[in-house]
Amino acid sequence: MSCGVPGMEDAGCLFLFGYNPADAHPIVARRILRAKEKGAKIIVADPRVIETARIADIYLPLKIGSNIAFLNAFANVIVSEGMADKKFIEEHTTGFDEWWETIKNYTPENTAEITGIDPEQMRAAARMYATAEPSSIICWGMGVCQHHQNVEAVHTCAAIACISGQIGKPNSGVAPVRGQNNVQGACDMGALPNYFPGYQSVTDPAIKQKFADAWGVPVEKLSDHVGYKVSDVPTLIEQGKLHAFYNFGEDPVQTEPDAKHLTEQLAKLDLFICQDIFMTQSAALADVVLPATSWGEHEGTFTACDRTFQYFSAAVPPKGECRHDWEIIADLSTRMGYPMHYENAQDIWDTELRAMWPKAAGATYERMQGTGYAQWPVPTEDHPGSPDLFLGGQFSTPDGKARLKAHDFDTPTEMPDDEYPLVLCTVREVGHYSCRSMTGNCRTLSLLADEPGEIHINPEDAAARGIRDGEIVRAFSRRGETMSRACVDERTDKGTVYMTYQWWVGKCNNLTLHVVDTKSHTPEDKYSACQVEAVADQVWAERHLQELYHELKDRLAAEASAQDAEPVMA
Amino acid sequence: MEKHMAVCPYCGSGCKLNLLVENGKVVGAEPLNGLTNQGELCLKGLHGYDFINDTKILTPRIYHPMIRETKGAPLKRVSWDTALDFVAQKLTEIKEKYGPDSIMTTGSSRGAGNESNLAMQRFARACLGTNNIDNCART
Amino acid sequence: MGSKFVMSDPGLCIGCKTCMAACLTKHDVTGDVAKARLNLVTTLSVSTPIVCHHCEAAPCASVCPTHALYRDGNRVAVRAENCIGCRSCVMACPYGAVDVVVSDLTARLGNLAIKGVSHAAVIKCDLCVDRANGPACVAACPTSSLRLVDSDDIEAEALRRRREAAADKAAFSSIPLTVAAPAAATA
Repeated sequence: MSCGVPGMEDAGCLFLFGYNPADAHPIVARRILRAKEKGAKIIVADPRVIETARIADIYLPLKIGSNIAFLNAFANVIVSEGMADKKFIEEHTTGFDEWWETIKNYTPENTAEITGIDPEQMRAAARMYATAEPSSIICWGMGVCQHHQNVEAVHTCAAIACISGQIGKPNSGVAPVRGQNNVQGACDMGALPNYFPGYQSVTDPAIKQKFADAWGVPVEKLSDHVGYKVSDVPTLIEQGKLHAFYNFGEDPVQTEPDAKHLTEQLAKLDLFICQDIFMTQSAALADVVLPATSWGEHEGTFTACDRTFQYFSAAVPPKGECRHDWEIIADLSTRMGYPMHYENAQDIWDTELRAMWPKAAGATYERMQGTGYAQWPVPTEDHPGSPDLFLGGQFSTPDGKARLKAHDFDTPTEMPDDEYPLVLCTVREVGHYSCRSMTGNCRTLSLLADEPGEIHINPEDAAARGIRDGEIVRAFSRRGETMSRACVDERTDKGTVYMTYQWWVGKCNNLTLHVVDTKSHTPEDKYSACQVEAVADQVWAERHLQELYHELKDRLAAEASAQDAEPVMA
Repeated sequence: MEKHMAVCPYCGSGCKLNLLVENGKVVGAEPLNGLTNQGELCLKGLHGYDFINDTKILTPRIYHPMIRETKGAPLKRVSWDTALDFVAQKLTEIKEKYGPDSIMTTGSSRGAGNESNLAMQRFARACLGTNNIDNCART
Repeated sequence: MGSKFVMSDPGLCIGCKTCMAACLTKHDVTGDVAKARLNLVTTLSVSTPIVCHHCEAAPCASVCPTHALYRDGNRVAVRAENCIGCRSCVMACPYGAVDVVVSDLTARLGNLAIKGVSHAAVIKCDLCVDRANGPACVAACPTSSLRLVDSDDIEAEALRRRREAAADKAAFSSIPLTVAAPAAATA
């Protein structure tokens, strides 16, 4: 995010594009209400009537899968109606003329059929966004990233902010609001195939040398090329390229698309390691299960969505033989002939991050005690931290200028047809999190929402299929099928159904298409063709789902029960 | 009642809270006046702590290392030494036979924290010799 | 002072169910039923939890044949042991804010398990009468959408609306009114 979460309430306009804060980040949704109360204009573009759409000044119910057509037309209005910030474009961007060559072809009128948006409404929204004082922020979430033209949409959102001059000043710019509590942190820390910690390129010789020196390894021992992305794991196994998978704190069998194919591929690995706190569905398939301490049992830091480092303490001691993740990793490395030793979490933070990444050098554990924090860039200990990036239009490119990039619209990969006439879009459950291994083991949260979850369907689509609210239905695609509880919902757009990806029995990832884009390799989780049908025997269906749920829980408990026996010699 | 400061392990808002501990068990959570949350929490922050106590509502916690001695064999509990030697030997064999890029690793974008991600990426790069490390930023 | 009840501002509600979680947890104790007493309902434009209004002439209490529901000072209270699970209260409540939950208990006679003993419980808001700081839902709501209102609040709100309505009447005057409101005068 180029701005901080608290600063969102001081913007003049918030443009939510493919972002549902009420379900994804209720505490950010609270800031958006505050912004509205302070007089900010709210624009929501989303196929569903999300909670924030209800308080929007302009709500644009765009057709799902039409993002690029929409954004291009939106950008076109800003330029063609004379609202572009020519000075900002001139001084702080490059590539405008080439960018315009593409954008000029998209107007609200000629894209209306694709986007479903009334051209006048789109023009009004573009005016509201571009002319808002003192600043506008474009916020997006997975409604941008999990589409096939995701990187293209990010480029276009960023370009819209640049050409309007709605970036480079306080509380402005772009806000891709990261979903998981430490996804920003995992990326900051170099858990990425192309970056060392701090977004320092793995292919830059000087950077490589710096890390080789710090780590005490010859520079030629460090790989000279970008690594694989986790979304490609099943494909790489199938191609015979991957033989071992060390999976740490994630449950891909639940969270990745096309679960059946992934499960088949994982079985082919020579070695599958899961380091986790729970016997997840993925851990149950592993050759080695390594028990780690849980949140609450270890200390450390997280990075919030707006680049804020915060420290968290341990509340209770580790259970059983659980060890801190970093201890396990360092011990293993030492056994493999590369000794790694750390005193504690702070030792890692100081040596591996603060010493290696100038922008984090000032983020000491001391300043993060209590409700303290450090928002990067924070280059020195007396630096206040940086809620806002790119101030004065200084971007993180070699010449300090933003590159404007435009892309032509392309349709989603798997368009609905007669056999699979509906679009499945996967979304989030407000009371559960990620693969649900944590929240599903919390009493209140599990009593409030449990299997098989819900499939939200428009009243007309439901009526056409004889589906009644609250009944169990069957959903299926070219990949597989599942059952879920129908929620006949007038906020749902016709032709699309929405399922939250938290359910193990009512698993939407049995249906999802595993296609990734060529640039970021993100699955197209927001758009898979599917069909939904009523189930005649509801008594059977309810009982059947209960049985499946019990079987799954019993199977995982049985796998975990191996730990109750005393250790055996391997 | 002890209080231990923490940051909510769920969404990316970064809400500060206290975990309430009685007799070595987490029994509650209360909001702190953090930068983002200003003394508020949502339902996950307020009620998302008891998984730590191994409620077994959905699936059990793992307390001991386990391995399958051969593919498809049942899991067996082993000592840490046995488990890590087993992994070290297997990974070394795979690396020698197929090269470092035949091994994939992940960070964790969840409750593990930044420090363990730093350790994992160093392990992947300096020990294994691969940039095959990623996290579930795409889900 | 008459009835109090929990009211929500549908504009501030974000449908996050934090109120429901707080309510469920408050009642998750031995002898009670772990179920939320307020339920989030969404229509196209409204999101709001629906909860008991503790009506002065409470239809649920009027129809209850066993006096399991009764007026207790400012609220409609539940005498759990009297409930026979007839659901008359559920039918009578115009808000759909009363529920009856039936749980099957397994009674034991020595080693013999006798199944099918049913226990019925009325599930409705009790205003967290035994909670020091008032309703748990109000305290938990992260957007301050929920508040506890009483008849004084309602009276004050009615007075405010009457004043607004009176001010708007200026337009209907047959004789021009020359004294402008202070805000308008400085504008």
